Amino acid sequence: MAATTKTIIKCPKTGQYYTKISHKSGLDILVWKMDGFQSTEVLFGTKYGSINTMFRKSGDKEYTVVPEGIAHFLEHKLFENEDTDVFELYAKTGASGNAYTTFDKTCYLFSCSDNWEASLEILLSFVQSPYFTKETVDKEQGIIGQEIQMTNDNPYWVLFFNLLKAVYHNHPVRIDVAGTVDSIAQIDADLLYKCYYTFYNLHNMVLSLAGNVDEDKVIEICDKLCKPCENEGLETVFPDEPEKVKDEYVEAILPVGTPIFNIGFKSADVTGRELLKAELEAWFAISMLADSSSPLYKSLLSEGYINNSFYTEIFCGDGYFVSIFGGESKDPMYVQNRICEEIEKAKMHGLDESRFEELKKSLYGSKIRNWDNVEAVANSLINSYFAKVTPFDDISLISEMTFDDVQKCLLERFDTDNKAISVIKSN
Amino acid sequence: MPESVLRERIADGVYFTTICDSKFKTSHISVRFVMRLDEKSVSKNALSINILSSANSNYPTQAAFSRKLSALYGSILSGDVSKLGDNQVMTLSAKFIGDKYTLNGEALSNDMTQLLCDCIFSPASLNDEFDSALFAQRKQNLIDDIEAEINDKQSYAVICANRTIFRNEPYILTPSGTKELVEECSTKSVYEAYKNMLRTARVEISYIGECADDVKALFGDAFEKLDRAPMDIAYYSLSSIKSATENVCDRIDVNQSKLYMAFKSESEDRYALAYMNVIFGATPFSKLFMNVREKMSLCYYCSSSYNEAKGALCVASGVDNTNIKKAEDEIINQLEDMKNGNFSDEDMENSYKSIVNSLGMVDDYAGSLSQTYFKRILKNDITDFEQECERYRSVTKQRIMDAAASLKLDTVYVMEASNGSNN
Repeated sequence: MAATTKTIIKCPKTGQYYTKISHKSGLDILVWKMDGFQSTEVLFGTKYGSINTMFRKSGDKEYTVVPEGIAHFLEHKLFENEDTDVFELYAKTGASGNAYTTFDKTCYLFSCSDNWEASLEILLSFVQSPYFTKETVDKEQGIIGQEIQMTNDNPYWVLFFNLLKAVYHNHPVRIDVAGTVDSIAQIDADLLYKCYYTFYNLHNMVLSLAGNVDEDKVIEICDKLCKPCENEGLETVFPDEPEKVKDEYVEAILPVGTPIFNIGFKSADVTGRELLKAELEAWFAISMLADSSSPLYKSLLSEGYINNSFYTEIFCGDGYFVSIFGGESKDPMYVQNRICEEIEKAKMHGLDESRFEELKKSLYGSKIRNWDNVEAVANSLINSYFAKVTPFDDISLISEMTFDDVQKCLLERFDTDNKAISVIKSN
Repeated sequence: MPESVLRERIADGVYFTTICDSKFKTSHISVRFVMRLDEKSVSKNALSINILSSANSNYPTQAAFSRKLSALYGSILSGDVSKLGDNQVMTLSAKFIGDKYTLNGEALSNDMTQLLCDCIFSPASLNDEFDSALFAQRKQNLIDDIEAEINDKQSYAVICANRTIFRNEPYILTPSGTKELVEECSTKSVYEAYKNMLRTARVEISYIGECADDVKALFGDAFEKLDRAPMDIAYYSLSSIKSATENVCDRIDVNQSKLYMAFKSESEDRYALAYMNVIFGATPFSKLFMNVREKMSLCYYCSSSYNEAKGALCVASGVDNTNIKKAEDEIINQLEDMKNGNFSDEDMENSYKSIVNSLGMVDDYAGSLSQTYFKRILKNDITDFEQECERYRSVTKQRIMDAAASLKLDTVYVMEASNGSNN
C-alpha cells in the first residue's frame, strides 16, 4: 500500500494556500484552513453525475448503460443506513448535513460550527456503507417523483433543459439530473449496487475541507475510516455528438410573467486546463458583448426589450460547451437577432479592448470575495479537483491572457449559425 | 468572534455599527432605511431604492455606473427591499475587497464609501425629480419583477396565502407593492418619497471588515446635514387570530399542488416557540420531515418556519392533489404530538445542538452577521452568542408544550394543480 503524502498548493499572486493529501487508501484530500473562522464545511464527492450513464471498468468488454437519474437516486438512498437515517446521526453532532447531484458529480456535505471531527466520521462512514432494499427503493420513488414534479413546475429549470435538449442531439447533459418518473421506475436495488461499486471507489472520489480544520486530525480520521480500494480503471464514455445544434427553436407554455428565454451558442468541448482557459476567454468575450456595461445591453434596455434579469453564462464540462444569454423579454427573437448582429460586428471590427483590463480586475476581485466564504472555498476545491485544475489556476490564466486570445475565442465559440433559443411564455 | 462591535448614534435616528473582524478579506457596508409598511408608500420606496442602487449624479446611467464598479475590482453595490414584521426595509449594500488585496495598492474603501454616499445623497436627478430615462427603465423593471412573482411557485403560493393569513394588516403587502401601485409612480412622487425616506426612516448602517474609521466619518458628515424627523419603529406586531380556520383554494396550471398552513400564537415566550419550531419542522430530523416525507413518502419537502415578529408559524409542502388532505391531517397530528409532549429529551437535545450550530456559523458570513445584528437592534435586545444559547438552554419541555398549545390553526391555503395527477 502506498504511503500518505502531502503537497502544499499555493497561489503565487496572493500567497493563499491549501494542502493536498494523497491518502494511502487511494483517496485524495484537500484541506484549506481559514484562519479566524469558526465553522467548517466538508464535502465528500464522487465524479459521478447525471451525464455518466455509460461506463465500464478495466476488464469489462461491454459498456453498461443505466437509467436516467440513477446518480441522483443513489444520492438519496445513501442517506439511509441499514439501521438508521443519516440525518439522525448528524442530529447528535448538531451539524447540518445535505447532499447534491449535478451533471458531473455527487457530493455529500455538512457544515458546522463545532465538533467537526465527529461529523467527519459520520460522513466517511455512511458514504462507504450502502444499504438498498426493494422496500427502501420503492419508498424513495414517491419522494423523488414529487421532486421531479416540483422541478417540472419551475419555469427556469424547464427553460434551461429545453435549451440543452435543443443544443445536444445525444450528449446526456440534455437529460434531467433527477431523470423522469418513468426512468426512475426502472431503478432497483441491484442496479444501485452496481453503480455504487463502480463510482464510489476512493480513486474516483475526493474529500474537501475548508474553514476551521486540522489536517493531521483529518488524516487520523481517514486512516481509521477509509477502506483502501484498488483502482479499477473506470472509464466513462459519451455518445458521438454532431457539431451543430439539434433544433434552433423550442417553446413551452407555462405560467410565467414576461416571456423568459435562453439563447445558447454551441462550440467544441475541451478538457482540463484547456477547458478552464476556454471558459475564461469565453467569459471575457460574452462580458464585452453583453454585460451591463456594454452598448448592446444599454440599447436593449432603453428600447424596453430586456430588463435587469438579463444575464450571460458559460456552461461547460465533460463533452459540452455552451455560451448562454438569458433573461425576460416581450420579444426573445428580436433579442436573439440583436445579439447575433453584435457578434458579427465584433468579429468584423473587434471587441472593445478598453474593457479588457477592467474585466481582469473584476474577475480577480470576485475570486478574493469568494475566499471569505467557507462554503464557497470548499466547493471551489472540489469543483477544480474534478476539472483537473486548482482554484488558483484561473488567476494565473487571466494574468497570462491577451486580448487577442479573447478575440480568437469570439471567432471560434460564437457561431451565429450554431445556436438555439428556448422560450417559455404564458397562455 | 468579531474583534469588536461598537454601535454609535451618528445623527438623529441614524446609527452606525462597526463590526471589526480582520479575518474578512472583503468589507461590507449595509445602509438600512426602516419605515412602517404602508400601501401609500410601499411601491414608491421600493422604486427609490431601485433607482438609488443603479446610478448616481456622477455615473448617471446604469452602463456608466456598472462600468465604474467593474473597474473597482468588480465591487458590488446593490439595492434590496424586504419586510420585517410590519416594516419595510430598504437596503443599499456595498461589498469590496480589502485595500491590501488590490493589485496596485488602490484603496477601494474610500472610493466605495464615497460611491455609496453619492447614491444616497446625490442621485441621478434634476430639479427635484429623478432622471426620466433611468426612472422609466427602473419602473418597468419593477413591474416585470412583480409579474415574475408567479415564476417561483413556492414563493408565489406564500404571497397568495398571505392575502388571507394577514388580511387587513400591513404585512399583506409584498415588499415592492403591486403592479398598479408601481404604475401610479411618477418621477416627482418617487423623488418626494425618497426625500421623505431620508427624513423620516430609522437608519441603521453596519460596517463589517478590517477596522476603518473614515467610513463612519463620511456617513456621519452626510447624515448630520439632514433635517431629520425619524419615525418610531416597532419590531413586534402580532397578527390577529381568526375565530374560525379559513380554507382557501386557488387553481393553477401546474403539476404539483402547494399546501400552506398558518398557525398563530399570542404567546410571548418566543424562545419556546422558536425551539418548538425546530423540533416540529425546521430540520431534516424534525417531526414533519421524518413523518410526512420519510415515513409517508407524500412529498419532497415539508417544513415549518416561525415568524416571531408576526407570531405566525407556517408549514409549507408540495404534494400530489390526492394527498393534500392526507398531508394536512398528518401535519395537524404532528402538532398535536408536540402539544401532548410526545417528543423525547433526545429530540430536545438534538434540536438544541442544531440551534447552537446555526448561531455559531453567523460570525463567519458577513451577510448573516449584518442581518442578525440588525434584527437584534430592532428588537432592542442585543444579545451575543452565549446569551442566545443560554436562553434556548433554559427552555423546558413544558414551555415547548405550552408554546405548541398556544398555536391556533388560522388559515389553510391550497394552490391546487390543475395538471396534477389524481392517482
